[in-house]
Amino acid sequence: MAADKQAQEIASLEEIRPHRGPWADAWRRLLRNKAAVIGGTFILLLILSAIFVDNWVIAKPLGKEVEPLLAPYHFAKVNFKMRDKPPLTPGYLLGSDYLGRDVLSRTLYGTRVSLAVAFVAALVSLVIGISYGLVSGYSSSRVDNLMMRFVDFLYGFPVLIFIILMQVYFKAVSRRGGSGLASVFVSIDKALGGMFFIFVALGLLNWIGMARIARGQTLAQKEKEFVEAARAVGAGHLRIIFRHILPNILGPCVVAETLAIPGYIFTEAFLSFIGLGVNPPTPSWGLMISETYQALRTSWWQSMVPGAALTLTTLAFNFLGDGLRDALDPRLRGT
Amino acid sequence: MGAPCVGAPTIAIAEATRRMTRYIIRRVLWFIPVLLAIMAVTFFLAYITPGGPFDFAGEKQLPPAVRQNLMQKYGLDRPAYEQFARWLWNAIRGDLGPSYFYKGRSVNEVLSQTFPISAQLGALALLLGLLIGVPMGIIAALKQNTIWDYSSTFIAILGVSIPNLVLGPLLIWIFALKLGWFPTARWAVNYKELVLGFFPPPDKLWPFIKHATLPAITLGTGLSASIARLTRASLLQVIREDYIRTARAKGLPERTIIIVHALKNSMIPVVTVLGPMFAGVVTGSLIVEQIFAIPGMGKFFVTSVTNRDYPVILGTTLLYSVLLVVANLFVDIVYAWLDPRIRYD
Repeated sequence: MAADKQAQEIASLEEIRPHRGPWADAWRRLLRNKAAVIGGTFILLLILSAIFVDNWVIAKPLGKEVEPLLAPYHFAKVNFKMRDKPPLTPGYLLGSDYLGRDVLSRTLYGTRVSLAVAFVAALVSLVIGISYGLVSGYSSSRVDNLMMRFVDFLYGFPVLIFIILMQVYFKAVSRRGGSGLASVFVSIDKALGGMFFIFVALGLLNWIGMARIARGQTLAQKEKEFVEAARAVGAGHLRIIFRHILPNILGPCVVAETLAIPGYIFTEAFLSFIGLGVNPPTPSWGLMISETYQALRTSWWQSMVPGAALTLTTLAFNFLGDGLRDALDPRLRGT
Repeated sequence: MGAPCVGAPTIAIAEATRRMTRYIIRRVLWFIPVLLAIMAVTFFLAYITPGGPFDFAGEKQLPPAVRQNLMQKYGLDRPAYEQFARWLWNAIRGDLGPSYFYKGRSVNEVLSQTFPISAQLGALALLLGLLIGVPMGIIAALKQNTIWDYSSTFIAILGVSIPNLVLGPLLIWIFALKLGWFPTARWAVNYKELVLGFFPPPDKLWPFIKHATLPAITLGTGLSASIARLTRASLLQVIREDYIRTARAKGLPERTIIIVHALKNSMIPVVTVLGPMFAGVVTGSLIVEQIFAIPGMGKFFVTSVTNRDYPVILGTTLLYSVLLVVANLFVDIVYAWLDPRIRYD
């Protein structure tokens, strides 16, 4: 009788609160976080503007301008008569730079570079890092030890310095043209305005932290009962890794990666700043700042507009990352 | 706490000290392969990069004969392993070779002139990070969910989000150009005038401070913001621990509870990030020195990368890497001191 009553109570509770999976729960918690929603919306808008910038606000072909909404000039359109114009000049809503190029148009196109670097580097780091961490954490302690020793070993490396040196190498190779496979990469890089090698350099060197996180999570998950249960019913290693462990470690890894994205955006801006990033005239926010920060006294908007874009974007990723962390692991709320 | 117990803690301490010493020795030995690998990879990257330091003199291309002679002079015509072995042997003896770009200056000279400046900048930034970040985090945690908490949390997230690349020019624009309070660039003190190779001389203190303020704030803002976030988070966790409740139950004054029991333990996660943070200072100095035209190591490194001045690149990378591994070791030791539960086996 008592059991019946309990079952009824549980049933009535379920009526009030319909069953939701952990992801749906996390989603609802995320939506309650105002900062995260603002950050996420901002990133969504950035992605949309990066994708549609060509046919949305800016006349597409260089030279043949049609009537656009915000920025009538292409990002590479040089006009010496319109040099260093302040914001709100007709046709140059946010002013023009030292070559008479539209700052707004360049900033909007710069979104592409920053976001592309952010997402590709994050994806590469996630894939390599999680695979490495999963294998290491799931393997026997000998293999695990060996793999983690290697990670410890790499941990002492000055990452940014190696990114710089790799970029020097890539730049020199692409100036030479290269042969065979190298020439394929060089032409891909040229087509992407110099972004491809930044992806490679960032991706190759930034998975180390992710591997550590993924391994720690895997170690914790593989001792859980559901893994044992899966093994008991005869699931293979691959099935256990991909069906049972991976979904459970994905949350913390994605959170850590979201919080790492501002770092990638900074790195790209920094590389472009010292002339080892995208190829001019591809507009990158870092490149725009480096070209104009010495003219602050007379034309502040030239470096402050891309600077504001850079700051707002990293702010949005930080808001979203914090929100995701709180949503996926409510115990950490407010920390 | 009778007399028989006196011996036990002494033995435990001796054991802990011995374990710690063993751990430090093992870590220091671990440095050797790491540093070797870093230098080998750096050398290899420099070696396979097409083009060399003697392709151009200014804008003009050097004649092949001249280039050949220069390559020969610096041993660049030798096989790669021989070049690396020679560099390594000299480096072990403390000679990092001549600079290719700054004619007549050795890398040792360049580093001994630029490192103190970078060290000053880095130290000021770290100091600023701790002096602002820790109190800000404490206030936010102790006054959780008040206007104090919200505003400092907001300032902190703004601080981590604004890149040096943006903050530097912004500060120059407002405080140097508009208000004229600080100079826009350069460093007031020359490496020759430094007291003990690090401190500015007393008569130059004022110009030093004036020149150092903006760069130090630029580099320190991100640090203090992340330290504040971490301090807040960790203190919030610590004050929910049982031993804090015990301290309260004993009727200790709130001040004692916070200072003696909570703060030390809440500093543990903060200390663990000081290692990566130190790396961040190094990275940040590359940008900040560029923006403020400070003649430090970071600025020279970037210049030598563009000039393909390989000995300077190798020497700077070595110095950075040594600093990085030593900083990480230091952090681990402080970590053990703060949290005796951690064992190094």
